[in-house]
Parts: sequence; C-alpha cells; structure tokens
Amino acid sequence: MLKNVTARLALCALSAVSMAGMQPVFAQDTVTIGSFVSTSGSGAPFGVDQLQGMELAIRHINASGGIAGRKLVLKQLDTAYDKTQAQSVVHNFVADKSVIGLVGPTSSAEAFAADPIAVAAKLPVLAPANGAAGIPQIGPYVHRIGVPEELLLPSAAKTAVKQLKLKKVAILYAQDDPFATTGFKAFQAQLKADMVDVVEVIGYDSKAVDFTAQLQRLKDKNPEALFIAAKSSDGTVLLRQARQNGIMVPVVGNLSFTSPALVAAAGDAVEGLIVAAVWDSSDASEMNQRFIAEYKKSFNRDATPLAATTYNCIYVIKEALERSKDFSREGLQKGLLAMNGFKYLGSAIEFRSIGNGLRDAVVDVPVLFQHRGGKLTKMAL
Amino acid sequence: MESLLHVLALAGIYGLFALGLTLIFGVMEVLNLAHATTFAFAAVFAMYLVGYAGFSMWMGCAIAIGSASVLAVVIDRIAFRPLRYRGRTVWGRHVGPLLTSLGVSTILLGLERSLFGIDPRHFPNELIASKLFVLGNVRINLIGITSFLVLVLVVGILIFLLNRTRWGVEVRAVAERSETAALFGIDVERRFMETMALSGLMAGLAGVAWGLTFNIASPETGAQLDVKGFALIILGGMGSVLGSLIGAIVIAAIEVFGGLYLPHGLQTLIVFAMLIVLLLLRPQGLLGKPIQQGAR
Repeated sequence: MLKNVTARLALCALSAVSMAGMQPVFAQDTVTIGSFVSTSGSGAPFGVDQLQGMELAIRHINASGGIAGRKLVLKQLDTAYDKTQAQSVVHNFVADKSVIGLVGPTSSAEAFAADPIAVAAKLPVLAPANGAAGIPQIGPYVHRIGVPEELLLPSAAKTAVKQLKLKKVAILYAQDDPFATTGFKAFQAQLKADMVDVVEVIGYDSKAVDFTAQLQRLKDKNPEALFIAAKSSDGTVLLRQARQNGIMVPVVGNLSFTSPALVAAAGDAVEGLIVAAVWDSSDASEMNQRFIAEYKKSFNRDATPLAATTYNCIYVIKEALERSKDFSREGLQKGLLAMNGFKYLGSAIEFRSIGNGLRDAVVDVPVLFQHRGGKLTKMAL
Repeated sequence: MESLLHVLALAGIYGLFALGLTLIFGVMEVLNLAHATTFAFAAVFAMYLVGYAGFSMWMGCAIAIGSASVLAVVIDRIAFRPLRYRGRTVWGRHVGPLLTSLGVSTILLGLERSLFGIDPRHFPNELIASKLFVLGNVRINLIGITSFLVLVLVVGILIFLLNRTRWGVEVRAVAERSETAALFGIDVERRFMETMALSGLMAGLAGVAWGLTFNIASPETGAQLDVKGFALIILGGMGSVLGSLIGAIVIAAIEVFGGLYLPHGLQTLIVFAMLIVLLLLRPQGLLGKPIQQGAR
C-alpha cells in the first residue's frame, strides 16, 4: 500500500516537473508585436494617435492576408508617459516570448530608461517619434523610424527665417526634457548658421503653468518670432499665455505641436504656428488617401503625423519579416538591418549609417505646415 | 504695472490655498497633507463638470467648491478624528495626524486619477477668455485680480468672524485649549468640523481660481502648491489669517520679479533661503505669535 502511494506520488511529481518544463504552445499562424505607447498621462494626446495608427496598419495588413499568411497581433501596454512604468512594461514584453518586436515608446525620456532593457534582451524596438539625440546610440536593436528633431527642426527654422525674413528671435524650451532640449539645440544651431540674432533663450520647467514673468521679459526684447521646443501640454499653455500677453509674432514649434488634442486646447492661440513633419496629408498616393479616409472612419478624427509614423512602423516590420522569412526576434532584427529605408506614408526615409554599426532615419525633404484661419496649410520650401 | 497685477493674481491663488492650511493648523494644530489633493480635486472636478457633464461655468465651479468643502470634512473624519483624543505626546498630537493625512492624500490621488484620468484637463476654450482685458497699455488678468479680491474679502470676513462673533470666540477657545473649551459647553467637534469645511472651501476657491487662470489642471496639480503652501504659512505665521495674505504676496512677488530678472529656478531658491533666515530671526513668522516656553 505504502509502495503504491509512494509510486503514485512520484508519478504525480514527475508529471508536474515535466509540465513545468514544457514550453507554452504558440499559434503558428500569428505574429505578435508589443506596443508601449502612453495612452494615459500627459503623453496621452500623442500615444493615442500612435496606437490608432498601429491598429489601422494591422487591420490593413491582416485584411490582405497578414505577413506570409500569419495574422499580425498587437499587444499594447500603457507606459503612462512615465519612465519607471516604461521599464516595467518592457520587462513584461521581454519575458513574453510570443512578442518578437516592440514599437514605442512615446517619449525620448521613456526610451532612454526602457530601451536598454530591450537591447540587453535582443528584442528589436522601433522608435516611432523619439526625436532626442542619442536614441540610436542606445544599442543596435533600437531602430528609429521617425526622423529626429535635430534633422527636422533645422529645416523648419531655415524655412521660417527665409520666408518671414527674420532677424531677431527668441527660443523657449522645456529644459527638463531631453526631447525638448534636443529641439532647442537644433533650433539654436540653425539660427546661428543663418546669422539670426537670438535675443533671449528661456529654459523652463515643463510642469510649470505660469510663464507670465518669462514672457514679459521676452516681450521687452521684441523678437520677430518665437521658437518653442516643448515637452507636451506645456507648449499649449505657453502658446496661450504668449498670446494673452500680447506676443502675437509667429511661433515655430517642435513635434509636440502636431498633436490635434493639444492644438485644440490652445484654441485660437495657434494662429501662425509653424511645425515641420515628414507626412503630408495632401499627398495623393492611394496608400495615403486610404489611410486618411479609414482613420477618419475608424476613429472619428483626422489622422496625424504621429499616427502616420506608427502606421509606417508596422509596415516596416512586415517588410523586415518578409525579407528574413524568420518570425523570431533575431529574424526581425536581421530583416530590419537588411532594409536601407522605406517609403510608405509621407516622405521617403533612409536608414543612414552613423558609425559603430548604428543607423538613423533621415529625410531629404520635410514638410512644413502653418496654422492659418483654423486650418493647417502647407508651406512652400 | 502688469507685473504688479500678476503678483496680485498669483497671491490670490496662493493666499486662498494657504488660508485653508493655516486655519487647520491654527485651530486643530495639525498639518493637513491632503489639502493639496483637495485643491487639485476642485480644479479638475470643475473642468469635468463644465467640459464633460454639461454644467454652466458658474454652476460647475460652485459645485466643485462645495464638494471640496465636503471632501475636507470627510478627510477629517478619516485622518484626524480617530487620533484626536488618543495622543498626549508630540507623536500623538502632531506626527500621527500628519502621517494619516499623507495616507488619505495618497488614496484620494488614486481615486481622482481613476475617476478623472491622469490627463491634464481644461475648460472649453469658448468659455475662457483667450485675451486679457486691456486698459491703456496694461493687460489685466481679470480672473487673477478677482482671485485676489476674493482673498482679501475672505480674510476680512474671517478676521471679523474670529474676533467679533460668538462663533469666533468659541473657535479661538477651541484653538487655545479644546479640553477646557469642552468643559465650558462648547461643541468642540462641531467647531473642528466647521474649520475643516472652511479650509476645504478655501482649497476649492483656490483650485477653481487656478483652473480659470491657467486653464489646465490634473490630479497632480496639487504637488505644485504643496511645498509652497507650507512655506507661505510659515512665512506669514502659522495660524495667522492675515499672515497668509502677507506671505502670499511676498512669495508671489519673489516668483514674478525673480522670473523677470533672475535665471530660471533661482526664485524657488530665494523663497526657501528667505524662509530659513526668517525662521532663524523670527521663528513664529511675520505675524505669528511668539512661542512661549512652558505656556502649555
């Protein structure tokens, strides 16, 4: 009796051990991509756009048969625009062996905190809009898809200076954010190259809501335009208060100003605002027009440059996997490294070598827009 | 001139916030760390009511202010009342309520985030003036000036109530020695409750003023005034109603004029440096009562 009980217990133990050692069975007909954008917190206006762009791309890809017959699946985890949460989320994805690649995060600050974890685990990350300097340098598994601020903003500055014949300007930037600081440096370098007098540089705390003192100081210097590198909603507040304090000159903004939610919050303060992007909504290509129409139909709002960039990210993943024909993390990485660039929505993007085996996204011709009469109007370069 | 008016606008918000804190400290001898959360709640709730629930601006703001007052009473019931008669030591009288108010603040913050979300909110643009009122060459923030006038009015009313009414006599008696006041038939618990309700009202007024002035608020907004509010009441004199007004003007002036003439970030440094010097020279603050050894 005792022997029987012992034998049965041993059998149970053996079964338990062998079951624990079994790998989970994944469906062979799916490809899972992790998304870690901010759908809450101050980054939500950007993150929601990004998520919707990805969802639409996945719907389109799956509708045309997926990737080599496999259905594309997206797993989204919210980073809440918080570095610590971004790290937790990436740890989660690293542990989830079904996830072969990531798209995100929303902010450069989160990327600096969380991407090294993915790099250490050899999990490819496609950075849709992390525009700060140093992002590709995090590691070879980080692939920047959105063109960095240091390339976009000089074009915006150069065009604004030329078209508005600017001689003296002021720069304001959120000095506690790496993305905004990169934007500031990009503006400053181009304005110096164009021999424009920067009469005032004001660094502010992105959490501040009262800029009256700084704006009054700046107003005394009579700048002909303001160049603002904001983090998120601080840009909206700054713009409103600038107009309230009688500063009605044109404003050249960074990527933060492309969010429709934040632009709507600014109200009529956006009149004259100039922003640079790599996506042109008036592009008549079939893919672009389909994207715009279906985005509007699906989400009841207009498509944004951020949504277009993450839409591109998903198509880049598709192309990379079709090249490598290997649906693993390493397969995705090989496929991405085999690509020299892409052209889906917006301008053609090239992956240019920046040394040490790293690459960055560059564009020859960005698009500039100006808010006029409540509409976004394309500016001639 | 515009800078001076801006000082008054900021002082209005800071003063109303600090008035609530100083009332609680003056009467109940506790520092309420949930006061900032109440302030943020009022701002966010007003924006929610007006922007999403369809209330008019006046009604939404009034409900938010009233709700802040009720919330303050609830905070008293949870954080302060259970410990009120237990502590006879410094820990029991002061540190315990401080810690429980911190706990309640954390819980409230979580509730606010789940109810209203973390995203910054704002009033609908069509309801908030995008341009300031211009008189000659001077731009005037009417909401800011109104906040300051409300602060002055409230300070005046409070001073009158505390010094010229029976209610004020009872509150001062409770503040002086609650046990003795109870022996004289004063309803001590009711006075505490009324003090908390008043402080919540101040937080609500400050929160709504903040929302109308800057048109942005989130549950995290309270963190912007938390430390500043304590600095202000220490500067003005803890427990001094008039001191809150003076402290608010001083700190607002440092911020505005510091922002005009000094590199960014130095204003905060100056505020706290001044605070340290003041505490060394005059520990009771500008208008606080001198601390008497052995008086209690």
